[in-house]
Amino acid sequence: MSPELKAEIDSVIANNKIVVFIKGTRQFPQCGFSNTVVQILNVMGVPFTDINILSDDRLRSGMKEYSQWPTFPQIYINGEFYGGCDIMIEAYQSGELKEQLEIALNS
Amino acid sequence: MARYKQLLFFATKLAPLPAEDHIPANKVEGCVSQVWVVPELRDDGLVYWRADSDSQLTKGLAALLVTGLSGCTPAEILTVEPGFIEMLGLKQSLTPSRNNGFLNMFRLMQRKTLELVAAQAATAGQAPAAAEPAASAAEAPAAAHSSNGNGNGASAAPAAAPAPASAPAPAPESRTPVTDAMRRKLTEALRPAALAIVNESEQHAGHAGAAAARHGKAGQTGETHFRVEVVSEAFEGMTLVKRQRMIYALLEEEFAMGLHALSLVTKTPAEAAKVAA
Repeated sequence: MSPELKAEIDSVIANNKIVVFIKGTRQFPQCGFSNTVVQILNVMGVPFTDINILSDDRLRSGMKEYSQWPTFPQIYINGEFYGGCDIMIEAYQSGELKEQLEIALNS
Repeated sequence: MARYKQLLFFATKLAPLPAEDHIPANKVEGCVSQVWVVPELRDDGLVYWRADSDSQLTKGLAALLVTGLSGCTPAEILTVEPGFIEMLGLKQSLTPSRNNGFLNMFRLMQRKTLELVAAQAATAGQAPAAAEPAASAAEAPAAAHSSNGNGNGASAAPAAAPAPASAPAPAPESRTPVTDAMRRKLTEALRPAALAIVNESEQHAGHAGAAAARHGKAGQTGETHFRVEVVSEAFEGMTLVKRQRMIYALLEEEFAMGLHALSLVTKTPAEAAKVAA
């Protein structure tokens, strides 16, 4: 991953509390898992930044390296890697997600 | 009414259970009548059930479960979701307490399956044969709730893939190299109590990423998207992220070959037992 790209990503993640790297956009997700994440966040009513990794192949392969995670969607909360779709679903169902989001947004 | 009669008919088909198996350890809790279920793990790595009840109706329900869940791998039994009960269309024919009893029967069968596997793992010391549902599990129709609700019981549980030989090594010309490799690596590294790998590539054939994925080796064998459910002690004390990272690390090669997406369910035996209870 080029240093410029890395710096950009560092910055996006640092300056936005909730960032999701997805396939497609929040209006037009292009994958079921990415869509699920977008919908959950919509339901939770929280502000979030979506980044379309399909828009740029370097971004797509770069993020796999950056997060040490081979799949998308990838979710970052408060600058930290949170997980993928399965993890968000689990946390959503258990009620943990609501807490985690509240803490993140209020910190 | 017809379903009711069907149940009573099934009851007559249930093989008798010897008196010595009518013990508390085999008894279903929370059932209006007395019901006992006994699993047997055979050399083919599959579980076979026997059951009995002092009431004809619950005997019929037990027979349904025995038929549906016999000849299944432990992993298949453990990943059946109770939703199939609704699909059987029995709900309207049974009183709430009977429905509840049926659910409890099913749960006990899941719990006993888990115990069987744990016991086998303890004595075997090696990766238990039971934890290696053969490759055909990956090709079997996905989730258990693909059963049709015609109440004849045979489709209550995941349509048992043809009972495979228990030889773990894939045939030389395997048509599912990615699946085989995944199974081998995950089994070796995690010694799972249960491992289910379901190929869901068909379901994703349409979307944008899949087209690109098809160029990889995995794309050519239609092995790009999977659902993997693992129960393993190795996950104790690990966050979900850590567990998933561990699995991704084990499968780095497969991702390089075109494996595209994994739905992961990672549980410790304790967590799995809680769900089944």
